[in-house]
Amino acid sequence: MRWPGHDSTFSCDAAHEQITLLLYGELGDEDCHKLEQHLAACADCRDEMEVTRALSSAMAILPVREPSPNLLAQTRLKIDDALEQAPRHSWTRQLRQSLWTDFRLLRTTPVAASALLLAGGALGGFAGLHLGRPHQEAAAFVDPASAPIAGVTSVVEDPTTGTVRVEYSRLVAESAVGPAADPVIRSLLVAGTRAPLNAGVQSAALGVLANTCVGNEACGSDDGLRSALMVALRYDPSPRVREQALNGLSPYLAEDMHARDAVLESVLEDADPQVRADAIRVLAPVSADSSVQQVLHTVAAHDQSPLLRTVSRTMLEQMPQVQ
Amino acid sequence: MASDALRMQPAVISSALPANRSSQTWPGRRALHTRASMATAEERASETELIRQAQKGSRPAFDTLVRQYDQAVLRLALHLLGSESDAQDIAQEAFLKAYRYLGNFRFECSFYTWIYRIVTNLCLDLMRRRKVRREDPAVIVDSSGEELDILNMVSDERASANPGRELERKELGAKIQTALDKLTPRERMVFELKHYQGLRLRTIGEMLNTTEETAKNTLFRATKKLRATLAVVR
Repeated sequence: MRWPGHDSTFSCDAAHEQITLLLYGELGDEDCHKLEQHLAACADCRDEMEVTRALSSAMAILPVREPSPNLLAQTRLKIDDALEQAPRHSWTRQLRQSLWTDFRLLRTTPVAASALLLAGGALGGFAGLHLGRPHQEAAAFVDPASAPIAGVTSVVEDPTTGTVRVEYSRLVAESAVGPAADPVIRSLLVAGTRAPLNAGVQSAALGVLANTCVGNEACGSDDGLRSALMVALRYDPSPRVREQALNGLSPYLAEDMHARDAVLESVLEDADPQVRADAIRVLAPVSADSSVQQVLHTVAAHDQSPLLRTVSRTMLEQMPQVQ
Repeated sequence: MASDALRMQPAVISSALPANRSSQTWPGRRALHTRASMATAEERASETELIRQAQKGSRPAFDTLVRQYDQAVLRLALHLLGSESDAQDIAQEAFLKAYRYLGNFRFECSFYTWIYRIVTNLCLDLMRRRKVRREDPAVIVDSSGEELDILNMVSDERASANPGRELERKELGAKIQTALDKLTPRERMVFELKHYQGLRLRTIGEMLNTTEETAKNTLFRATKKLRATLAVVR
Protein backbone atom coordinates (compact mmCIF):
# COMPACT_ATOMS: atom_id res chain seq x y z
CA MET A 1 0.00 0.00 0.00
CA ARG A 2 1.17 3.54 -0.77
CA TRP A 3 -0.07 6.68 0.88
CA PRO A 4 0.58 10.37 0.34
CA GLY A 5 3.54 11.99 1.97
CA HIS A 6 5.57 8.82 2.45
CA ASP A 7 8.47 7.18 0.69
CA SER A 8 6.84 5.59 -2.32
CA THR A 9 9.72 3.11 -2.68
CA PHE A 10 8.89 1.49 0.65
CA SER A 11 6.05 -0.85 -0.20
CA CYS A 12 3.92 -2.85 2.17
CA ASP A 13 5.51 -6.03 0.79
CA ALA A 14 8.92 -4.75 1.82
CA ALA A 15 7.50 -3.75 5.19
CA HIS A 16 6.13 -7.27 5.73
CA GLU A 17 9.56 -8.74 5.13
CA GLN A 18 11.15 -6.23 7.45
CA ILE A 19 8.61 -6.93 10.18
CA THR A 20 9.79 -10.54 10.19
CA LEU A 21 13.41 -9.43 10.33
CA LEU A 22 12.62 -6.98 13.10
CA LEU A 23 11.03 -9.60 15.26
CA TYR A 24 14.03 -11.85 14.73
CA GLY A 25 16.42 -9.03 15.70
CA GLU A 26 17.93 -8.92 12.22
CA LEU A 27 16.83 -5.44 11.09
CA GLY A 28 19.38 -2.64 10.88
CA ASP A 29 18.80 0.65 12.67
CA GLU A 30 18.12 2.66 9.55
CA ASP A 31 15.62 0.16 8.17
CA CYS A 32 14.04 0.02 11.58
CA HIS A 33 13.49 3.76 11.51
CA LYS A 34 11.89 3.58 8.06
CA LEU A 35 9.66 0.74 9.17
CA GLU A 36 8.59 2.69 12.22
CA GLN A 37 7.50 5.60 10.04
CA HIS A 38 5.67 3.24 7.72
CA LEU A 39 3.85 1.51 10.54
CA ALA A 40 2.76 4.78 12.07
CA ALA A 41 0.75 5.50 8.96
CA CYS A 42 -0.23 2.03 7.68
CA ALA A 43 -2.94 0.13 9.51
CA ASP A 44 -2.55 -2.96 7.29
CA CYS A 45 1.11 -3.31 8.19
CA ARG A 46 0.34 -2.83 11.87
CA ASP A 47 -2.09 -5.69 11.51
CA GLU A 48 0.63 -7.66 9.73
CA MET A 49 2.95 -7.06 12.64
CA GLU A 50 0.29 -8.21 15.08
CA VAL A 51 -0.21 -11.44 13.16
CA THR A 52 3.51 -12.08 12.82
CA ARG A 53 3.99 -11.66 16.54
CA ALA A 54 1.07 -13.96 17.17
CA LEU A 55 2.80 -16.56 14.98
CA SER A 56 5.84 -16.24 17.20
CA SER A 57 3.76 -16.80 20.31
CA ALA A 58 2.00 -19.77 18.74
CA MET A 59 5.28 -21.38 17.71
CA ALA A 60 6.48 -21.24 21.29
CA ILE A 61 3.98 -23.99 21.99
CA LEU A 62 6.50 -26.52 20.63
CA PRO A 63 9.51 -25.51 22.73
CA VAL A 64 13.04 -26.78 22.23
CA ARG A 65 13.75 -29.12 25.09
CA GLU A 66 17.05 -30.39 26.34
CA PRO A 67 17.63 -34.07 25.54
CA SER A 68 17.05 -36.21 28.61
CA PRO A 69 20.18 -37.31 30.51
CA ASN A 70 19.36 -40.87 29.55
CA LEU A 71 19.18 -40.08 25.86
CA LEU A 72 22.37 -38.07 26.07
CA ALA A 73 24.18 -40.90 27.84
CA GLN A 74 22.96 -43.46 25.31
CA THR A 75 24.00 -41.21 22.44
CA ARG A 76 27.46 -40.73 23.91
CA LEU A 77 27.88 -44.48 24.14
CA LYS A 78 26.81 -44.87 20.52
CA ILE A 79 29.22 -42.18 19.41
CA ASP A 80 32.04 -43.75 21.40
CA ASP A 81 31.31 -47.16 19.90
CA ALA A 82 31.24 -45.74 16.41
CA LEU A 83 34.51 -43.93 16.94
CA GLU A 84 36.13 -47.06 18.35
CA GLN A 85 35.21 -48.96 15.21
CA ALA A 86 36.21 -46.16 12.87
CA PRO A 87 39.49 -46.79 11.10
CA ARG A 88 42.34 -44.99 12.76
CA HIS A 89 44.17 -42.40 10.73
CA SER A 90 46.90 -44.06 8.73
CA TRP A 91 50.43 -42.99 9.65
CA THR A 92 50.86 -41.34 6.26
CA ARG A 93 47.74 -39.29 6.78
CA GLN A 94 48.80 -38.37 10.28
CA LEU A 95 52.21 -37.36 9.02
CA ARG A 96 50.67 -35.32 6.21
CA GLN A 97 48.30 -33.66 8.66
CA SER A 98 51.04 -33.01 11.14
CA LEU A 99 53.23 -31.43 8.47
CA TRP A 100 50.34 -29.35 7.21
CA THR A 101 49.50 -28.08 10.68
CA ASP A 102 53.12 -27.26 11.40
CA PHE A 103 53.48 -25.57 8.03
CA ARG A 104 50.47 -23.36 8.77
CA LEU A 105 52.09 -22.30 12.02
CA LEU A 106 55.37 -21.60 10.27
CA ARG A 107 53.71 -19.41 7.69
CA THR A 108 52.67 -16.97 10.35
CA THR A 109 55.95 -16.98 12.25
CA PRO A 110 59.40 -15.72 11.32
CA VAL A 111 61.62 -18.56 10.28
CA ALA A 112 64.27 -17.88 12.89
CA ALA A 113 61.69 -17.92 15.65
CA SER A 114 60.29 -21.12 14.23
CA ALA A 115 63.69 -22.72 14.26
CA LEU A 116 64.13 -21.74 17.87
CA LEU A 117 60.69 -23.08 18.70
CA LEU A 118 61.41 -26.34 16.95
CA ALA A 119 64.72 -26.73 18.75
CA GLY A 120 63.09 -25.85 22.05
CA GLY A 121 60.21 -28.17 21.27
CA ALA A 122 62.58 -31.03 20.62
CA LEU A 123 64.38 -30.47 23.88
CA GLY A 124 61.15 -29.92 25.74
CA GLY A 125 59.64 -33.00 24.16
CA PHE A 126 62.59 -35.09 25.27
CA ALA A 127 62.36 -33.70 28.76
CA GLY A 128 58.59 -34.07 28.80
CA LEU A 129 58.88 -37.63 27.59
CA HIS A 130 61.32 -38.37 30.33
CA LEU A 131 59.39 -36.56 33.05
CA GLY A 132 55.92 -37.58 31.79
CA ARG A 133 56.59 -41.26 32.29
CA PRO A 134 56.30 -42.55 35.79
CA HIS A 135 59.72 -43.49 36.98
CA GLN A 136 60.09 -46.22 39.45
CA GLU A 137 62.91 -45.84 41.91
CA ALA A 138 64.28 -48.15 44.56
CA ALA A 139 64.26 -46.57 47.96
CA ALA A 140 67.77 -45.40 48.76
CA PHE A 141 67.86 -46.78 52.25
CA VAL A 142 67.18 -50.37 51.25
CA ASP A 143 70.03 -52.71 50.52
CA PRO A 144 68.50 -55.55 48.49
CA ALA A 145 70.89 -58.03 50.11
CA SER A 146 69.51 -57.25 53.54
CA ALA A 147 65.87 -56.80 52.58
CA PRO A 148 63.46 -59.08 54.43
CA ILE A 149 62.66 -62.43 52.87
CA ALA A 150 59.13 -62.58 51.54
CA GLY A 151 59.03 -66.32 51.02
CA VAL A 152 60.84 -69.47 49.90
CA THR A 153 59.50 -70.90 46.66
CA SER A 154 61.67 -73.95 46.08
CA VAL A 155 64.17 -76.23 47.90
CA VAL A 156 66.21 -78.74 45.89
CA GLU A 157 69.01 -80.87 47.40
CA ASP A 158 71.82 -82.17 45.18
CA PRO A 159 72.97 -85.49 46.72
CA THR A 160 76.12 -85.69 44.60
CA THR A 161 77.58 -82.41 45.78
CA GLY A 162 75.72 -82.17 49.08
CA THR A 163 74.49 -78.64 48.28
CA VAL A 164 70.98 -77.32 48.53
CA ARG A 165 69.38 -74.87 46.07
CA VAL A 166 66.87 -72.52 47.73
CA GLU A 167 64.81 -70.12 45.65
CA TYR A 168 63.29 -67.21 47.49
CA SER A 169 62.16 -63.65 47.00
CA ARG A 170 62.90 -60.56 49.02
CA LEU A 171 60.73 -57.58 49.76
CA VAL A 172 62.36 -54.53 48.21
CA ALA A 173 60.65 -51.18 48.79
CA GLU A 174 60.22 -49.13 45.67
CA SER A 175 58.33 -46.00 44.79
CA ALA A 176 56.87 -44.74 41.57
CA VAL A 177 56.17 -41.15 40.66
CA GLY A 178 53.84 -40.06 37.86
CA PRO A 179 50.42 -38.72 37.01
CA ALA A 180 47.52 -40.59 38.56
CA ALA A 181 46.04 -41.39 35.16
CA ASP A 182 49.16 -43.24 34.07
CA PRO A 183 48.51 -46.99 33.68
CA VAL A 184 51.46 -47.98 35.90
CA ILE A 185 50.47 -45.62 38.68
CA ARG A 186 46.85 -46.64 38.35
CA SER A 187 47.63 -50.34 38.65
CA LEU A 188 49.63 -49.55 41.82
CA LEU A 189 46.72 -47.55 43.18
CA VAL A 190 44.34 -50.44 42.48
CA ALA A 191 46.75 -52.69 44.38
CA GLY A 192 46.70 -50.12 47.18
CA THR A 193 42.95 -50.48 47.52
CA ARG A 194 43.54 -54.12 48.43
CA ALA A 195 45.86 -53.33 51.35
CA PRO A 196 43.66 -54.51 54.21
CA LEU A 197 46.35 -53.98 56.83
CA ASN A 198 46.74 -50.32 56.08
CA ALA A 199 43.43 -48.43 56.06
CA GLY A 200 45.17 -45.10 55.39
CA VAL A 201 46.75 -46.43 52.18
CA GLN A 202 43.46 -47.98 51.11
CA SER A 203 41.57 -44.74 51.62
CA ALA A 204 44.20 -42.57 49.94
CA ALA A 205 44.42 -44.88 46.91
CA LEU A 206 40.65 -44.92 46.52
CA GLY A 207 40.43 -41.16 46.84
CA VAL A 208 42.97 -40.62 44.08
CA LEU A 209 41.36 -43.24 41.85
CA ALA A 210 37.88 -41.83 42.31
CA ASN A 211 39.02 -38.30 41.55
CA THR A 212 41.01 -39.39 38.52
CA CYS A 213 38.25 -41.52 37.14
CA VAL A 214 35.43 -38.97 37.17
CA GLY A 215 35.06 -37.74 33.62
CA ASN A 216 38.11 -39.67 32.42
CA GLU A 217 37.30 -41.80 29.39
CA ALA A 218 40.42 -43.85 29.91
CA CYS A 219 38.82 -45.38 33.00
CA GLY A 220 36.20 -47.08 30.82
CA SER A 221 38.26 -50.16 30.11
CA ASP A 222 39.81 -50.56 33.53
CA ASP A 223 37.88 -53.39 35.14
CA GLY A 224 40.32 -53.69 38.05
CA LEU A 225 39.64 -50.13 39.03
CA ARG A 226 35.90 -50.63 38.69
CA SER A 227 35.94 -53.70 40.91
CA ALA A 228 38.05 -51.90 43.51
CA LEU A 229 35.58 -49.03 43.60
CA MET A 230 32.62 -51.40 43.98
CA VAL A 231 34.33 -53.29 46.81
CA ALA A 232 35.07 -50.02 48.57
CA LEU A 233 31.51 -48.80 48.15
CA ARG A 234 30.14 -51.99 49.65
CA TYR A 235 32.62 -52.68 52.41
CA ASP A 236 34.80 -49.70 53.32
CA PRO A 237 34.09 -48.57 56.89
CA SER A 238 34.76 -44.90 56.11
CA PRO A 239 31.78 -42.92 54.72
CA ARG A 240 34.21 -40.55 53.04
CA VAL A 241 35.86 -43.39 51.13
CA ARG A 242 32.47 -44.76 50.13
CA GLU A 243 31.48 -41.35 48.80
CA GLN A 244 34.71 -41.22 46.81
CA ALA A 245 33.97 -44.66 45.43
CA LEU A 246 30.48 -43.47 44.44
CA ASN A 247 31.90 -40.55 42.50
CA GLY A 248 34.42 -42.81 40.84
CA LEU A 249 31.74 -45.27 39.76
CA SER A 250 29.40 -42.66 38.30
CA PRO A 251 30.91 -42.73 34.75
CA TYR A 252 30.26 -46.48 34.55
CA LEU A 253 26.62 -46.47 35.53
CA ALA A 254 25.20 -46.03 32.04
CA GLU A 255 26.80 -49.19 30.73
CA ASP A 256 27.66 -51.40 33.68
CA MET A 257 24.77 -53.11 35.45
CA HIS A 258 27.07 -54.39 38.19
CA ALA A 259 28.19 -50.88 39.03
CA ARG A 260 24.56 -49.76 38.97
CA ASP A 261 23.57 -52.60 41.29
CA ALA A 262 26.32 -51.64 43.71
CA VAL A 263 25.02 -48.09 43.84
CA LEU A 264 21.44 -49.29 44.26
CA GLU A 265 22.57 -51.44 47.17
CA SER A 266 24.20 -48.39 48.63
CA VAL A 267 20.93 -46.46 48.32
CA LEU A 268 19.09 -49.17 50.22
CA GLU A 269 21.65 -50.38 52.73
CA ASP A 270 24.43 -47.89 53.40
CA ALA A 271 24.69 -46.95 57.06
CA ASP A 272 25.34 -43.28 56.32
CA PRO A 273 22.35 -41.17 55.14
CA GLN A 274 24.62 -38.74 53.28
CA VAL A 275 26.21 -41.57 51.30
CA ARG A 276 22.73 -42.86 50.45
CA ALA A 277 21.64 -39.39 49.31
CA ASP A 278 24.76 -39.08 47.17
CA ALA A 279 24.06 -42.52 45.72
CA ILE A 280 20.61 -41.31 44.65
CA ARG A 281 22.18 -38.24 43.10
CA VAL A 282 24.65 -40.20 40.95
CA LEU A 283 21.82 -42.39 39.69
CA ALA A 284 20.14 -39.41 37.99
CA PRO A 285 21.49 -40.13 34.47
CA VAL A 286 20.12 -43.70 34.61
CA SER A 287 16.86 -42.87 36.36
CA ALA A 288 14.88 -44.35 33.47
CA ASP A 289 16.06 -47.83 34.45
CA SER A 290 13.13 -49.70 35.99
CA SER A 291 15.25 -51.15 38.79
CA VAL A 292 16.41 -47.65 39.70
CA GLN A 293 12.84 -46.42 39.67
CA GLN A 294 11.73 -49.32 41.83
CA VAL A 295 14.37 -48.54 44.43
CA LEU A 296 13.51 -44.85 44.36
CA HIS A 297 9.80 -45.60 44.80
CA THR A 298 10.62 -47.86 47.74
CA VAL A 299 12.78 -45.26 49.43
CA ALA A 300 10.31 -42.45 48.68
CA ALA A 301 7.45 -44.42 50.22
CA HIS A 302 8.95 -46.31 53.11
CA ASP A 303 12.34 -45.01 54.16
CA GLN A 304 12.74 -43.85 57.72
CA SER A 305 14.86 -40.87 56.76
CA PRO A 306 12.83 -37.80 55.70
CA LEU A 307 15.87 -36.51 53.79
CA LEU A 308 16.04 -39.63 51.65
CA ARG A 309 12.30 -39.73 51.10
CA THR A 310 12.47 -36.16 49.84
CA VAL A 311 15.50 -36.73 47.63
CA SER A 312 13.94 -39.83 46.06
CA ARG A 313 10.62 -38.11 45.53
CA THR A 314 12.34 -35.14 43.89
CA MET A 315 14.27 -37.42 41.61
CA LEU A 316 11.10 -39.28 40.60
CA GLU A 317 9.33 -36.01 39.89
CA GLN A 318 12.16 -34.82 37.68
CA MET A 319 12.13 -37.92 35.52
CA PRO A 320 10.99 -37.48 31.93
CA GLN A 321 7.30 -38.29 31.79
CA VAL A 322 7.58 -40.42 28.67
CA GLN A 323 10.19 -43.12 28.50
CA MET B 1 -9.32 -13.81 7.76
CA ALA B 2 -5.84 -15.15 7.49
CA SER B 3 -4.85 -14.21 10.97
CA ASP B 4 -7.66 -15.94 12.86
CA ALA B 5 -5.85 -19.12 13.78
CA LEU B 6 -2.85 -17.24 14.97
CA ARG B 7 -4.95 -15.16 17.25
CA MET B 8 -5.77 -18.24 19.29
CA GLN B 9 -2.70 -17.33 21.27
CA PRO B 10 -3.03 -14.09 23.14
CA ALA B 11 -0.30 -11.70 22.19
CA VAL B 12 0.47 -8.25 23.40
CA ILE B 13 -0.13 -6.18 20.33
CA SER B 14 1.41 -2.82 19.87
CA SER B 15 0.94 -0.53 16.93
CA ALA B 16 4.38 0.90 17.41
CA LEU B 17 7.75 -0.78 17.24
CA PRO B 18 8.89 -2.49 20.40
CA ALA B 19 11.13 -0.26 22.42
CA ASN B 20 13.61 -3.04 22.88
CA ARG B 21 14.65 -4.64 19.63
CA SER B 22 16.95 -7.03 21.32
CA SER B 23 17.04 -10.76 20.75
CA GLN B 24 14.50 -11.26 23.51
CA THR B 25 11.76 -10.13 21.15
CA TRP B 26 11.63 -13.55 19.56
CA PRO B 27 11.45 -16.56 21.84
CA GLY B 28 13.62 -18.86 19.79
CA ARG B 29 16.63 -16.66 20.35
CA ARG B 30 17.11 -18.06 23.81
CA ALA B 31 18.83 -21.26 22.84
CA LEU B 32 22.12 -21.22 21.02
CA HIS B 33 22.04 -17.92 19.28
CA THR B 34 25.44 -16.50 19.83
CA ARG B 35 27.44 -19.45 20.99
CA ALA B 36 30.15 -18.69 18.51
CA SER B 37 30.29 -15.00 19.33
CA MET B 38 30.02 -15.60 23.05
CA ALA B 39 33.07 -17.82 23.12
CA THR B 40 35.91 -16.00 24.80
CA ALA B 41 39.29 -15.67 23.18
CA GLU B 42 40.64 -18.13 25.73
CA GLU B 43 37.97 -20.70 24.87
CA ARG B 44 38.63 -20.27 21.19
CA ALA B 45 42.36 -20.71 21.67
CA SER B 46 41.76 -23.80 23.74
CA GLU B 47 39.38 -25.20 21.13
CA THR B 48 41.85 -24.47 18.36
CA GLU B 49 44.48 -26.40 20.26
CA LEU B 50 42.07 -29.30 20.75
CA ILE B 51 41.31 -29.36 17.04
CA ARG B 52 45.00 -29.36 16.18
CA GLN B 53 45.63 -32.21 18.59
CA ALA B 54 42.70 -34.14 17.17
CA GLN B 55 43.96 -33.53 13.66
CA LYS B 56 47.24 -35.10 14.69
CA GLY B 57 45.35 -38.18 15.81
CA SER B 58 44.62 -37.52 19.49
CA ARG B 59 41.44 -39.36 20.33
CA PRO B 60 41.07 -37.75 23.80
CA ALA B 61 41.19 -34.31 22.16
CA PHE B 62 38.48 -35.33 19.73
CA ASP B 63 36.42 -36.80 22.57
CA THR B 64 36.61 -33.46 24.35
CA LEU B 65 35.32 -31.73 21.23
CA VAL B 66 32.48 -34.24 21.01
CA ARG B 67 31.51 -33.55 24.61
CA GLN B 68 31.42 -29.82 23.91
CA TYR B 69 28.93 -30.16 21.09
CA ASP B 70 27.01 -33.42 21.43
CA GLN B 71 24.22 -32.02 23.57
CA ALA B 72 23.55 -29.09 21.23
CA VAL B 73 23.67 -31.37 18.20
CA LEU B 74 21.24 -33.79 19.81
CA ARG B 75 18.90 -30.98 20.83
CA LEU B 76 18.79 -29.62 17.29
CA ALA B 77 18.26 -33.01 15.64
CA LEU B 78 15.63 -34.01 18.18
CA HIS B 79 13.53 -30.91 17.71
CA LEU B 80 13.93 -30.99 13.97
CA LEU B 81 13.27 -34.67 13.37
CA GLY B 82 10.95 -35.46 16.27
CA SER B 83 12.49 -38.88 16.80
CA GLU B 84 14.97 -39.83 19.50
CA SER B 85 16.24 -42.71 17.45
CA ASP B 86 16.81 -40.58 14.33
CA ALA B 87 18.40 -37.83 16.42
CA GLN B 88 20.81 -40.36 17.94
CA ASP B 89 21.71 -41.72 14.50
CA ILE B 90 22.30 -38.22 13.17
CA ALA B 91 24.52 -37.28 16.12
CA GLN B 92 26.52 -40.50 15.76
CA GLU B 93 26.98 -40.10 12.02
CA ALA B 94 27.84 -36.41 12.35
CA PHE B 95 30.66 -36.99 14.81
CA LEU B 96 31.90 -39.97 12.85
CA LYS B 97 32.09 -37.81 9.74
CA ALA B 98 33.78 -35.07 11.69
CA TYR B 99 36.34 -37.62 12.93
CA ARG B 100 37.03 -38.87 9.43
CA TYR B 101 37.26 -35.49 7.79
CA LEU B 102 38.74 -33.40 10.58
CA GLY B 103 41.93 -33.28 8.57
CA ASN B 104 40.08 -31.20 5.99
CA PHE B 105 39.10 -28.57 8.56
CA ARG B 106 41.18 -25.50 7.70
CA PHE B 107 39.97 -23.06 10.39
CA GLU B 108 38.24 -20.99 7.74
CA CYS B 109 35.08 -21.01 9.83
CA SER B 110 34.46 -21.85 13.45
CA PHE B 111 34.35 -25.50 14.45
CA TYR B 112 30.83 -24.78 15.67
CA THR B 113 29.76 -23.78 12.15
CA TRP B 114 31.60 -26.72 10.65
CA ILE B 115 30.00 -29.37 12.86
CA TYR B 116 26.58 -27.77 12.41
CA ARG B 117 27.10 -27.82 8.66
CA ILE B 118 27.60 -31.57 8.86
CA VAL B 119 24.56 -32.02 11.09
CA THR B 120 22.26 -29.83 9.02
CA ASN B 121 23.29 -31.65 5.84
CA LEU B 122 22.55 -35.01 7.41
CA CYS B 123 19.20 -33.79 8.72
CA LEU B 124 18.29 -32.32 5.34
CA ASP B 125 19.09 -35.64 3.66
CA LEU B 126 16.89 -37.48 6.11
CA MET B 127 14.03 -35.01 5.77
CA ARG B 128 14.20 -35.28 1.99
CA ARG B 129 14.10 -39.07 2.18
CA ARG B 130 11.09 -38.81 4.46
CA LYS B 131 9.33 -36.56 1.98
CA VAL B 132 9.99 -39.00 -0.84
CA ARG B 133 8.75 -41.93 1.25
CA ARG B 134 5.84 -39.78 2.45
CA GLU B 135 6.58 -40.73 6.00
CA ASP B 136 4.66 -38.91 8.62
CA PRO B 137 7.29 -37.03 10.58
CA ALA B 138 4.68 -35.89 13.06
CA VAL B 139 4.74 -39.37 14.55
CA ILE B 140 7.37 -39.19 17.24
CA VAL B 141 9.10 -42.29 18.45
CA ASP B 142 11.50 -42.75 21.30
CA SER B 143 14.76 -44.63 21.08
CA SER B 144 13.07 -47.96 21.66
CA GLY B 145 10.71 -47.39 18.74
CA GLU B 146 7.69 -46.67 20.91
CA GLU B 147 5.37 -44.06 19.53
CA LEU B 148 5.02 -40.99 21.67
CA ASP B 149 2.23 -38.54 21.88
CA ILE B 150 3.56 -35.41 20.22
CA LEU B 151 1.05 -33.41 22.18
CA ASN B 152 2.88 -34.29 25.35
CA MET B 153 5.51 -31.88 24.12
CA VAL B 154 2.93 -29.14 24.37
CA SER B 155 2.83 -28.76 28.06
CA ASP B 156 1.37 -26.15 30.29
CA GLU B 157 2.10 -26.01 33.97
CA ARG B 158 -1.41 -24.73 34.53
CA ALA B 159 -2.92 -27.72 32.72
CA SER B 160 -4.39 -29.30 35.78
CA ALA B 161 -6.02 -26.03 36.71
CA ASN B 162 -7.56 -25.57 33.29
CA PRO B 163 -8.00 -28.76 31.24
CA GLY B 164 -9.99 -26.96 28.56
CA ARG B 165 -7.16 -24.60 27.88
CA GLU B 166 -4.67 -27.46 27.82
CA LEU B 167 -6.77 -29.22 25.18
CA GLU B 168 -6.81 -26.04 23.12
CA ARG B 169 -3.04 -25.80 23.41
CA LYS B 170 -2.62 -29.39 22.29
CA GLU B 171 -4.84 -28.85 19.28
CA LEU B 172 -2.85 -25.80 18.33
CA GLY B 173 0.38 -27.74 18.84
CA ALA B 174 -0.81 -30.42 16.42
CA LYS B 175 -1.76 -27.78 13.86
CA ILE B 176 1.60 -26.12 14.15
CA GLN B 177 3.39 -29.44 13.69
CA THR B 178 1.32 -30.06 10.56
CA ALA B 179 2.19 -26.60 9.28
CA LEU B 180 5.90 -27.20 9.92
CA ASP B 181 5.73 -30.50 8.07
CA LYS B 182 4.40 -28.73 4.99
CA LEU B 183 7.56 -26.67 4.63
CA THR B 184 10.26 -27.86 2.28
CA PRO B 185 13.24 -29.42 4.11
CA ARG B 186 15.32 -26.32 3.47
CA GLU B 187 12.61 -23.95 4.68
CA ARG B 188 12.10 -26.12 7.73
CA MET B 189 15.81 -26.07 8.42
CA VAL B 190 16.15 -22.30 8.12
CA PHE B 191 13.08 -21.78 10.29
CA GLU B 192 14.41 -24.22 12.89
CA LEU B 193 17.83 -22.61 13.03
CA LYS B 194 16.41 -19.11 13.21
CA HIS B 195 13.25 -19.43 15.23
CA TYR B 196 14.01 -22.29 17.57
CA GLN B 197 17.79 -22.35 17.76
CA GLY B 198 18.13 -18.58 17.52
CA LEU B 199 21.11 -18.42 15.13
CA ARG B 200 22.01 -15.34 13.11
CA LEU B 201 20.98 -15.41 9.46
CA ARG B 202 24.61 -14.93 8.48
CA THR B 203 25.60 -18.04 10.43
CA ILE B 204 22.69 -19.97 8.95
CA GLY B 205 23.86 -18.96 5.47
CA GLU B 206 27.36 -20.19 6.28
CA MET B 207 26.07 -23.50 7.60
CA LEU B 208 23.88 -24.12 4.59
CA ASN B 209 26.54 -22.99 2.10
CA THR B 210 24.47 -20.09 0.91
CA THR B 211 24.25 -16.33 1.39
CA GLU B 212 22.64 -14.41 4.21
CA GLU B 213 20.23 -12.92 1.67
CA THR B 214 19.08 -16.36 0.52
CA ALA B 215 18.65 -17.48 4.11
CA LYS B 216 16.59 -14.37 4.75
CA ASN B 217 14.35 -15.03 1.75
CA THR B 218 13.91 -18.66 2.76
CA LEU B 219 12.94 -17.61 6.27
CA PHE B 220 10.42 -15.13 4.94
CA ARG B 221 8.93 -17.76 2.64
CA ALA B 222 8.70 -20.21 5.53
CA THR B 223 6.89 -17.78 7.82
CA LYS B 224 4.43 -16.90 5.06
CA LYS B 225 3.69 -20.56 4.42
CA LEU B 226 3.24 -21.22 8.12
CA ARG B 227 0.80 -18.38 8.43
CA ALA B 228 -1.15 -19.53 5.41
CA THR B 229 -1.35 -23.13 6.65
CA LEU B 230 -2.35 -22.12 10.14
CA ALA B 231 -5.06 -19.86 8.78
CA VAL B 232 -6.46 -22.72 6.67
CA VAL B 233 -6.48 -25.28 9.42
CA ARG B 234 -8.42 -22.90 11.59
